Amino acid sequence: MISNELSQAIYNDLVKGKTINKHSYIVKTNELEENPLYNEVFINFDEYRQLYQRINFDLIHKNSSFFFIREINGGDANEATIKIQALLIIIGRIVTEKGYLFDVLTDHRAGIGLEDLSVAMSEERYSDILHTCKLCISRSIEEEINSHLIIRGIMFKNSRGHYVLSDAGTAFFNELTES
Amino acid sequence: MNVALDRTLILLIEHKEMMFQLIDYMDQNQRKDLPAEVFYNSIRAKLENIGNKKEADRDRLNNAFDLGNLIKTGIVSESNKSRGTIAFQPAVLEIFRLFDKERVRGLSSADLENIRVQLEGAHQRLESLSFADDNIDFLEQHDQLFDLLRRINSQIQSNTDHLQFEADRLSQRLDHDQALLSLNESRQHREILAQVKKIYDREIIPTLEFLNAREYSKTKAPLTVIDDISRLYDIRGHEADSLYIDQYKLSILSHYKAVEKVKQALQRYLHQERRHRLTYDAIEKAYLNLQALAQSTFTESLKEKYIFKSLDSETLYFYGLKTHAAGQEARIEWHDRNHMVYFNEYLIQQSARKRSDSSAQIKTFKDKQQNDRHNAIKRRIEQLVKQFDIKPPVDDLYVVVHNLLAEELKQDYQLNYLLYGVSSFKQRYGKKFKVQVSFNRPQQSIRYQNQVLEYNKREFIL
Repeated sequence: MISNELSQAIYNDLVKGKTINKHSYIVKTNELEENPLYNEVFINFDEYRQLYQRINFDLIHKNSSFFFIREINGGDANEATIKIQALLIIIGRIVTEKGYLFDVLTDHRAGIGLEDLSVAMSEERYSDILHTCKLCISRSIEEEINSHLIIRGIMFKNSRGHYVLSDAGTAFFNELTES
Repeated sequence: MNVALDRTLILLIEHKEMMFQLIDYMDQNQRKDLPAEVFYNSIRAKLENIGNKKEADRDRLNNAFDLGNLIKTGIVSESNKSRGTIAFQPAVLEIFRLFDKERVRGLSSADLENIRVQLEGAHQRLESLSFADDNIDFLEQHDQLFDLLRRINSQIQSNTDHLQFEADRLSQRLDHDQALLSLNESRQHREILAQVKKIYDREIIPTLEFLNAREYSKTKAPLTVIDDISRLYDIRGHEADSLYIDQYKLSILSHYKAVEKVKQALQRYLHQERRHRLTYDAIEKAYLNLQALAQSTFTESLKEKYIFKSLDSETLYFYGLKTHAAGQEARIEWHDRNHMVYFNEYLIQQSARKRSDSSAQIKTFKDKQQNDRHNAIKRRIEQLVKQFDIKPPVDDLYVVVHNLLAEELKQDYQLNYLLYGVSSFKQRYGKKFKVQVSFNRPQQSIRYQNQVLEYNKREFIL
């Protein structure tokens, strides 16, 4: 049975281009908790899928770890998704190139600081790529990460102020590894 | 002054930490000799530590550790002045390694292959000899063989100890570093995983292959060669020696289980290391692809310099994710206010201004037009505040004004008028009394007709 209260919150997130992750991060306790919105969609998936189909959206469940909606027959430009993908690849590359363990990005207690990212991304090889993706042209890297990854729920900031991959972000790298 | 070999060795053992440093240097740099400079610096540091108080000790050490003396006593077996290197007698180094398990050397793949070749050589030589008790060649080969078996047994024992020690040491560090709270820790963690992989590939697997009694595909397994030698002794009437050789074989083979256990203990880290390696490879591949796409846009016209057209949208992981109005979201989150209240207030002001334009022509205002107070409700609010007999102290000014306005304005009252009411109140009484704001979290809130006003409490005091 669909919950009215939760379905409104879910719609509010999905329609703004946010992902609904299996776990949500609680800053106060510095722990991950099960996301009630995810559970709601997961349990009533068929009903929600039908609901969104009626308003011309596909409800996508990726890697059993997060949901998002996609307009049926396209509609949205892929510019935003390229930006997200480019940012994720560059952040992943910075971590691996510096010899850090990749788990730093996925462990909610660890994460990577803005300073480490800013210094690396200011290098020409990275800034060239970012510019061709229309990133970091007029905005700082912090603003770009916030608007493309944090607000969409692909990354989150932990209690130390470090950036950590959410379920959606982690799923991206998992698929990259498996493909 | 020359110091005897036994005295020199005793002094070296007494100051073994200096030898440990030199052994560590050689191990870290994977070399069998060391630069003379490193040796001199260690001696110098050692002597400086002793200081001037124990001058006799210092002189004794100075004489004993003098390079000339070490060469003369045979502790240093090689001194190459043109290359500036010295090499210690391997047997001396082995003695020091025995003092500390950490420094016991394992057997590398090459070491094990060398042992196998020696065993095969021994077998071939023995096969061609007559096993007569007066055959000197046989007796020499016989001694050689038992020396070799004794050495292999001892080396395999040391190797097992070394592998067990290394596995414990690395496991402890990896388990300890489980919470990767800093980037440096994570880097160390990754380096340890690389060490695990190296030990696994270069020492554990070759040792297990060495101890495997089954045939190799191309070459004979070392233990099979020992079996062949044992059989040869048996056939040629040396049953006792054959039995002795079998016992050596069993003793060597007994290490298989211990090494297998080490292998199993390290396997989970190896799995971790493999997972990381696969992730790194995948990221590198994706990055190079992205870089190539970006570079291919540089040659095109400025208009086309973005890579968006080059990527197949179907291959994008988040393909179709709705374009997001990030700016709007950011603005909403930036102001921690109830915008509905401000917006309504704005509409009231706008409509009041419109009304004021028309009412400005009414002559009843005469020449004394009111500045900004053309809104009828606002004028009523001002009037109510003026008439309201309120005396400090008042705990929450908002609640008091809210109750007053709700009671007097009845259905005309909306929550956004409360802001104006409080503002009028402050204008009227602000100079006479004091209004104190408290910034507590969470803020106070008043709920009225589906609207909520969140505010910082204002106390009205004398």
